[in-house]
Amino acid sequence: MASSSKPAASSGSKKDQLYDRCAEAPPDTVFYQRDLADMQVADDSASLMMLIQQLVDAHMLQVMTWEGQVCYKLRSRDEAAKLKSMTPDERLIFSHIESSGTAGIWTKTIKAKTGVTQTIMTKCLKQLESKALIKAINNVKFPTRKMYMLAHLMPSEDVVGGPWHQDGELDVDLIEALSNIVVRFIERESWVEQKQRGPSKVAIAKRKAYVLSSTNDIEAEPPLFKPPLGPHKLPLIPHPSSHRHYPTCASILAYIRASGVVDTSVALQEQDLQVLLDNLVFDGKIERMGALGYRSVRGAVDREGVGEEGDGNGLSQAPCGRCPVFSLCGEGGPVNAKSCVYFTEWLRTG
Amino acid sequence: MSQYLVELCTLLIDDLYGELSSQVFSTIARLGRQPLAGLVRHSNLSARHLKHGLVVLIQQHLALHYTSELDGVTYYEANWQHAYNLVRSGKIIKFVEDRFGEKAGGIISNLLLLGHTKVSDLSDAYGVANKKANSGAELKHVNGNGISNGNGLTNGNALTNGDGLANGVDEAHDASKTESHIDSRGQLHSLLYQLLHSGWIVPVREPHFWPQAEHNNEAEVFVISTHFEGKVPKGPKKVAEFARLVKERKRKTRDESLEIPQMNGITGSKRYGSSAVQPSKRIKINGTGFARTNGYSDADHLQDEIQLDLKQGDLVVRVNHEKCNVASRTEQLTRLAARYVGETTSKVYEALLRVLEEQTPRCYDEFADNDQEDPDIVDASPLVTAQAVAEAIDPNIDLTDGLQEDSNHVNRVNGNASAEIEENDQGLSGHSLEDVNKRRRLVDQHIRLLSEDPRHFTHWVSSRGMSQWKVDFPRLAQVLIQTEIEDTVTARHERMGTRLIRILHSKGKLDEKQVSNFSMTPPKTIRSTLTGMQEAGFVETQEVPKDTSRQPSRTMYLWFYDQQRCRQLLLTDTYKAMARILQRIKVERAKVQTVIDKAERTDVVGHEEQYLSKMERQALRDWSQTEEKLLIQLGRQDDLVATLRDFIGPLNS
Ligand code: SF4
Repeated sequence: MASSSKPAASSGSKKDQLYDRCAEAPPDTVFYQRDLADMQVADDSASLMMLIQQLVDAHMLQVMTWEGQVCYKLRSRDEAAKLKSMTPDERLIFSHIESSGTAGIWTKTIKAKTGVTQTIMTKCLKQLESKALIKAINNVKFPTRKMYMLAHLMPSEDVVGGPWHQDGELDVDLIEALSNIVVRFIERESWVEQKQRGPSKVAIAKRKAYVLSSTNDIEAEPPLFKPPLGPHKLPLIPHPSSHRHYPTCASILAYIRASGVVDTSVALQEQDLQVLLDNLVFDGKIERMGALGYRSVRGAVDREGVGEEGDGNGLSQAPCGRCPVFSLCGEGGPVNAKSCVYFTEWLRTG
Repeated sequence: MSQYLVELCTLLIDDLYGELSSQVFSTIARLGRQPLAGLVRHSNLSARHLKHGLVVLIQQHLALHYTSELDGVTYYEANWQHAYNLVRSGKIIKFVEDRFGEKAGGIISNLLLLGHTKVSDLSDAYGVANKKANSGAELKHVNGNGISNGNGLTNGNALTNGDGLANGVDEAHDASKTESHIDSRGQLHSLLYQLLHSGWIVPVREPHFWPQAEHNNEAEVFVISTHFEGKVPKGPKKVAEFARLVKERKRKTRDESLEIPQMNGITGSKRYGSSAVQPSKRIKINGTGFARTNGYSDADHLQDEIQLDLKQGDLVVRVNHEKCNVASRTEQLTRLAARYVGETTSKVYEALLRVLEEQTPRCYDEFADNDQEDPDIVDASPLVTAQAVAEAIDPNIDLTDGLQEDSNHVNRVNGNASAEIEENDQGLSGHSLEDVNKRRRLVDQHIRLLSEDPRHFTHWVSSRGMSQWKVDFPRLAQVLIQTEIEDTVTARHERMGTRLIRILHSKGKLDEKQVSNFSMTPPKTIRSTLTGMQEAGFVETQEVPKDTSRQPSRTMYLWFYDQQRCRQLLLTDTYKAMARILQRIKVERAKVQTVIDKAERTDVVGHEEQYLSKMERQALRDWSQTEEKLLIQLGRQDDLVATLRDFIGPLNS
């Protein structure tokens, strides 16, 4: 029925072209409009928007938003077909279950969110269950609640007593050890060591000519921030902007599991790892790249012992910025700039 | 006006214009808007002294005044913005030198020295009294430069430093003077033209000397008489309309007062607007001094016209500090990009931001019509293409540095060899088309990195000119502010402090248990950090009673972080720290004052070896090092003030 609404054969093939181009990217890639524009399938943005809409209507693209920008994720043709075969009510309910992830969703919540009647919901849930798209789960906290989640997902461990706790206390050592492993893994995956490039002959010649012809010495300027070095002592540089393989919670978890760094007795789930990743973001060690990916903050892995503090700013470097009696200090007061020993000390040292 | 800001401004004025001026300034700053009689009554200065002081302050734009038409009484008010800006003199000169060359920097330093000036007087200063004006300016220039980066404070210069206005010519100054020497009136006018059109200097008109209150009065009276038939508007709808119209009127008045005379159609605010494609092109052509596009002859013609205008000499001009804030923002954002992305990419960013500067008269417009909900109003933020950046960027920058070969992209867009970067290395000789194309593509890739960074330094708009971008300045200003707060917190409360602040910033009010969960740290570990930051004012708590008993044990404490409050706190602290540095400089100078005096004697200058003892020379060297160190720190603190105060709307408090 969907095919009958296609206006013309040629535009249908364009739609497929766009889909195929997207499919060339690794799974779970998130596309922004400009990525799709770069594929140069559509002639202008109006027709691109039309193609996107067609794909969305056919459930082949999933619409998401990230920081206010619309972005898209590809669905497999199988999945799209399944979605297409659903009734609108089923699809609505399915989408809510899908977005609840590994936490699952209570039937009462579904009803409140969708506003469908009890009978319709029961029917839909049954249908979806029979197609093996969703499954019923038990919640330990609320054993009386009837809950559903996507069939292929593992229900998450309840946060209380999760893998981060040992005898009811936070397992600080485990958290710390795993944090280090994760940050190093993310750095390896999100930055590249710049290839050693002897400066090309032309560049040297050019520079020489420049120095001779000018009194300004450009070479004298050191970089504002020393570039962090990778494991081979070469500067780390970002991936090109087309890079889409930034580690995700799922891929980091897969790495941890495969590497065997944690005891198998620690049943680490995606949502546990998510807590750790959030914490690392707060700690300024890693940062979000798009909706799913992570990148390590430049210099998060400290190989040269630069120290934790960093440069500070004009205030924190100055004696007054660290002064214990700052609030008492003033001209004519008990402490003042004239007699200040902190200044004397600061001026004396380097 | 905070107590510490008054203290700081007074110190700055004292340094440059002497004790009387600074006393008068602190009096009017303390008393607020007052007529002369009020000033006399509330201070222990005589009317004669006050008048003397006010003349200097007004010439330097450090005091505002307004004579009421009703009773003919003149009211005075301190202009703390300009007083504070004294600390930036060196920076402004450097910004202008970087963009327009040394001679333009010289003009700026003269203008800073003279306050607002008639163009004809400026010409005279260069022509007739060249020597005098210039040497004075150079001295201040050296002094100012030191404030920003310590340049020129070394060697002999330091001997005369500090008391710049009073004296002396030494070799270093003579040398630099020749470099910024301006040969002809024509050259002066053409530089003035560039500076006027890029907004670094602006015309001065009567309203510029009015206090804010007068601008407000004028606008309100005007709007009431033109739109509300002379009646004060009532009712929420009318009041809102009134507020909007007053803002609009203020904006109009300001834009008109900044218009360059007799240049109808391409001047004033219009030249910055998105519609003013032509003028901005002209500015660019002249700004870089190259005839790049075919609009050149046109611009040439335009220039003649303005020069005619300038030759009449009646125009009064001054340095525009709002433009300095724009350049400052460029510098801070470039720094941020260098820190989080990479050095070369940050240079591309700097070039991009400088292209945008041409279309940006100020960082934020306090009179902007920002509560427009009209969907027909398009976002007017200026756009920039990768092409324009590639043309503007220093050709000596190796753009392949810091960039991974993006085979994907190259293949897709151009369909040709991916090994292009290496290949082209051999053929960099001229400005071949290929070379230009390659640079454009590399620039584009750097800009893409910037947009992909979580801070989103740029935003993609379209594919025009390789690619077209804009920059979300208000959001980035917030990022800069937050970064400064975090850096300060890290220095005082370790990484943990910053982590907790980020958690509270993103999650809102939390109790200790929740903070502990998010930070994955036991409550007892975070408690001391939280209380420490509370004492310092970075975080606050709110008491929430669990029931009506109001017992402490039945009360929850929620922690929260208020960015705006921290911004204010840090700003005040920085003012205070800056005042301490200036006070310390005085103290340090006093210690060697006798030697400085001796070194500045005319018979000693140039014969230091002969007349100064070894110890005296050592003392001078030490002093110059000390001063340099203190001035560098002062400059960095001013950077912090710029970030906290000048890039985005005013603090509400
Ligand atoms: S001058 Fe000295 S005592 Fe006063 S705030 Fe600064 S460091 Fe502290």
